[in-house]
Amino acid sequence: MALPIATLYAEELKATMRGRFAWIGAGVVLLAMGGLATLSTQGGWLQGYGILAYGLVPLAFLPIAAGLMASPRTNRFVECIFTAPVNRRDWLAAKFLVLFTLAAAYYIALLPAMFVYTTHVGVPLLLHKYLLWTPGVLLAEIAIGSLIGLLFIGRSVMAPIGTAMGLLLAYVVFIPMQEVMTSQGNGATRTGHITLASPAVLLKNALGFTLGIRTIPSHTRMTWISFAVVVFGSLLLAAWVFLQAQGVETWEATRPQRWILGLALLSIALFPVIFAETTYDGIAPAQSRAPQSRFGARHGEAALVRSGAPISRRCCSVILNWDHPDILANRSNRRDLLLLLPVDAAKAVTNFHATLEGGEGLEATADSSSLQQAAPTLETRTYPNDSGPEMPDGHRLTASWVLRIPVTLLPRNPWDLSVIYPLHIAATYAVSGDPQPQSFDEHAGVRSRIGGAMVQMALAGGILPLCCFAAAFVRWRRTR
Amino acid sequence: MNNVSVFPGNAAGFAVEMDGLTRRFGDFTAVQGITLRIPKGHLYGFLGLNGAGKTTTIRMLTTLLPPTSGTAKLWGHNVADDPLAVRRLIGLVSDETSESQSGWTAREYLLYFARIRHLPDPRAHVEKLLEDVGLDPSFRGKLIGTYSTGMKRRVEIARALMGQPKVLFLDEPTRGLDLPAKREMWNLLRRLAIDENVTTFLSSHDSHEIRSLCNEISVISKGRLVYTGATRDLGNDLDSFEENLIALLTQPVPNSV
Repeated sequence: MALPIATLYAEELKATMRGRFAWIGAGVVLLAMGGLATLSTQGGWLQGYGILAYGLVPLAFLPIAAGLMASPRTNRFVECIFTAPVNRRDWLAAKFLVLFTLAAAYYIALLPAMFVYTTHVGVPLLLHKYLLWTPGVLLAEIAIGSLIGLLFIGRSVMAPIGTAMGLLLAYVVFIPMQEVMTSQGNGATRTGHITLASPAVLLKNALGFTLGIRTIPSHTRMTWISFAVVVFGSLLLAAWVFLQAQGVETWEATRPQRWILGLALLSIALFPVIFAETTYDGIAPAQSRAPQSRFGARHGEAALVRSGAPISRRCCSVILNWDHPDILANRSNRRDLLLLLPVDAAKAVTNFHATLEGGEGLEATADSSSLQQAAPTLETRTYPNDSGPEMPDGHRLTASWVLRIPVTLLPRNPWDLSVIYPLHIAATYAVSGDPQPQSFDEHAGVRSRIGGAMVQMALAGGILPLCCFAAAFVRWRRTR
Repeated sequence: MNNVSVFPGNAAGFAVEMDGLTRRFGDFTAVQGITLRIPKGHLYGFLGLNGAGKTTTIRMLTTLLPPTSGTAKLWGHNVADDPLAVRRLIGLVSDETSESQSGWTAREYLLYFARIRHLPDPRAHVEKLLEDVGLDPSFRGKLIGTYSTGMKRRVEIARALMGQPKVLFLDEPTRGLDLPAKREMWNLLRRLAIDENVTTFLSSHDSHEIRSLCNEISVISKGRLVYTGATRDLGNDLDSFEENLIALLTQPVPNSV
């Protein structure tokens, strides 16, 4: 005969996915995550998708756990279960196992997209930390959510889920709040302490990483202890409440038990706030191989276009190909680099000398005949409505010169699926009627992506949602 | 009339024994000092107005609610000390459970319980039960939420009959059933009592049902038993039975709580 707990676990797990919208809900969540993965490859995958998938969605297991624990008692299903020969301890253990299984399923659902990522990029430190952060957050949320679900014994699921949602919002907000306060040197203030009530923040500190700042606590012992108190304290208290202080239908707590419960809840809530480490005197490790330089939306004087393509009307940004397709990583890309020389098109440009220097793995080359031109071939650019560059004497150009340099760009070793490589362009030239040589100096960025990665991410992220939708369809067909 | 009611028979023959059974919720006493013994194989009626304490009594007997004081035994097993043994003996149809899993099919619902009870060949067992309660095969794979009230009732009764219980606790078991189905159910309960010695503890507001099925009844009012005895002693016809019943239910209860 199978162990009762194993049978209960198997039946409860099947029961969980029998909800009217269980498979569709799972599919929608996973599809949304897959879509976000694809979209996030256009920015920083780790900072976009990573925070959401590995940090925020696991926090949502708080209301899920609360609802799963509370619902059989709100819809009276427990009356049917506990008039069958079922041990309450076994049922509770089975429920916990179901929640851990759902958490594991979520973690596994992230793997296909992650494998695509690591195949192309490797495992940067931030992803390594995420892979540890997520199971810890899932465990903590299941423990706390279960406790909330079991504390509310009654005929409505709204009370436990509402409470869990409120706590979830607080936990989410505490993550950026702690980073902002720490970056301002206020990590040890009262508010800084309160942010440590979030298990996600606690675990982030304990694992020694940050999402956007440079300082971490150099000591983590009390942070780890606090995290353990929250997780195991919640699990033990949930089990004690269910088995000792409640009956099947209602509270059966004695006065001493009520005191114990109140003090235990207070201890679990306050222990991390009081005792977790708040001396942020350590240097956070680099999240990845990404360069420290940042390219904003600053105006630029150069552009990168397809060979022979005209210059864009909306030109230019410091990111040279901001309104043109990304160049592909690990491949040679032929492009035209257009330099907007602030020279009146009525004047001649001579003695042009330029150098290109790519950084962080970008190889930028051009023919020497293009970089050294005594009498360069120039194109004109006109500026309507007085929108041209302003000259030292105050007047605005209505037409200026544009110099086209065919270049070959080879981005190597990308540190994310979509990255911006630095490119330094320096040039000197002479302008007729001006005895002083003119200079052109641009520290620009070139956006690059790993070819095919986005499609692979979309496919990888779409496999499990499709399975969920198929399961929902099969169940609908079978039961209609 | 008093709070102590004993039917003839030896101790080994009792399916249900209550001795001073009391349940309080804070300062409110829902059931006070019920003492009652029901022999095995009887169809026993339990009547009372809404809020009289019928459901609380049934919940204590089915291990859902621990008694505040007093004892209750089913087939000699104390409900407080040995709840698992009691649960192996009972089946319950409560007024409030039929809507609990509307997203499941009847087969899924009953298979869940067949498996957690470790019944051999659970699928065959479930089909047999559904056949016994008369649920049309074409509906067995559809969601319970789409069923009529009567069909939901049949599924609940099938669940209560699972594992061949020795004592059935039925709270308004035929509410919502049409007349033929109601008759089928009565016949099923009679057959279970005669052939398998199943004791049925039947709570109902349907006087006709109680009179048709039960030879003995108890009447509870404001947490206390106000009558225990033969059904026929309350009247030879339905009118006189109901008049006497109403008189019992509305009379002042001494030391009422």
